[in-house]
Amino acid sequence: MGMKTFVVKSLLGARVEDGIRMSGGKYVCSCFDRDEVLCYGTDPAVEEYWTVNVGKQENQVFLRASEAEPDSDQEIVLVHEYSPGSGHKRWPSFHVDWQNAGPVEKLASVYRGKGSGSDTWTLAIAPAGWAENIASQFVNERDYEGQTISYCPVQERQLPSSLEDALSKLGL
Amino acid sequence: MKCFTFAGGKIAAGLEVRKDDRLGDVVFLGETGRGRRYEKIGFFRKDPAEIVNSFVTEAHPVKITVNRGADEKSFVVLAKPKDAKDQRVLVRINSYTGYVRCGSGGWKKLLGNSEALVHAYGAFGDAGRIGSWGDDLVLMAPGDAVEVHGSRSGRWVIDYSDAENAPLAMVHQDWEAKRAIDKGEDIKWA
Repeated sequence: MGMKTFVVKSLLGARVEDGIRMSGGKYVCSCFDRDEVLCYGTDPAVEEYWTVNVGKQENQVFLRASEAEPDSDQEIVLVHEYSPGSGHKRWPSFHVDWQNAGPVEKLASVYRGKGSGSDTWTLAIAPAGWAENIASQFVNERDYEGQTISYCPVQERQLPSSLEDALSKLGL
Repeated sequence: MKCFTFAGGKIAAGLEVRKDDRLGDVVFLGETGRGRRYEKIGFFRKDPAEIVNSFVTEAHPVKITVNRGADEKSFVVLAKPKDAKDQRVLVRINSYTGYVRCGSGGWKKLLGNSEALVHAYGAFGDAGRIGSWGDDLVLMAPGDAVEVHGSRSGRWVIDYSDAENAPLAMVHQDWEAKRAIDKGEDIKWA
């Protein structure tokens, strides 16, 4: 049917985890005096989604567990950007430079901000390896400055053909 | 039929019963005062609904019409349920969620044909002119859904989709998502 299956990852600073955890069939972001839903799961009984189909209806995003072979080019990433609030100011803030984030399609986003800190949760379709690429650039050290990270894909270098021949002769 | 109370975004079994000096046990709806309307739902004398720990959990609404000359007045009382097969439910819908100037709480039909048997309301301000909230006794049949908006904030749906389960109360957005998932066809998959 042409429906894609994606691997799901959660990105928080320098940490990437597989899957997304839901409660009661939805991913809820606590925005202090209210709750906002980032996305829904199609089965309220399922608490963790690892490989999914992703769907939209008006402004709502739905994830449905899928056992099909996941797409090798793209993945779904739940990005949690943050600026630490008072008491944690010496830890760096983590943000993604969405203007330079590569071919990413944002599906849904929830922001909360009050006082000095803030959080943004974003669900996006990104190139495979995108989450690890962002996470690897983030330096999560005390007294390190806040970072807004761009996507920097590693370019595969083409070796000169003569060098390739020489390496193949050596069996490398 | 089973009775429920919706208030503050949650639905619970039963209707709260209070003591009234004149009528005895009543379910009190609304608010007293200028620009407000209260209703006391009494109990059918011949065969009253059972009260357990100040709550009625099952009742049958009986409409009584009284003729006093040209004046005709009707009111609802609660009798013991007669027909066990009756799958309809009585839901008290109270839309008070706090004060905000010119706030307006109430409900409306989304699916089916729910009917308000008793209508009462409370209000804000001395004369009730700076906002109001409804407090109705509503008859819902399986398949019905109503939307409730709170006087200060909140938008919920009371969904009585099937008779096997009690009516559910949920945030409007969740209800839309649930319907989309149940129907399936409205979701566009990547």
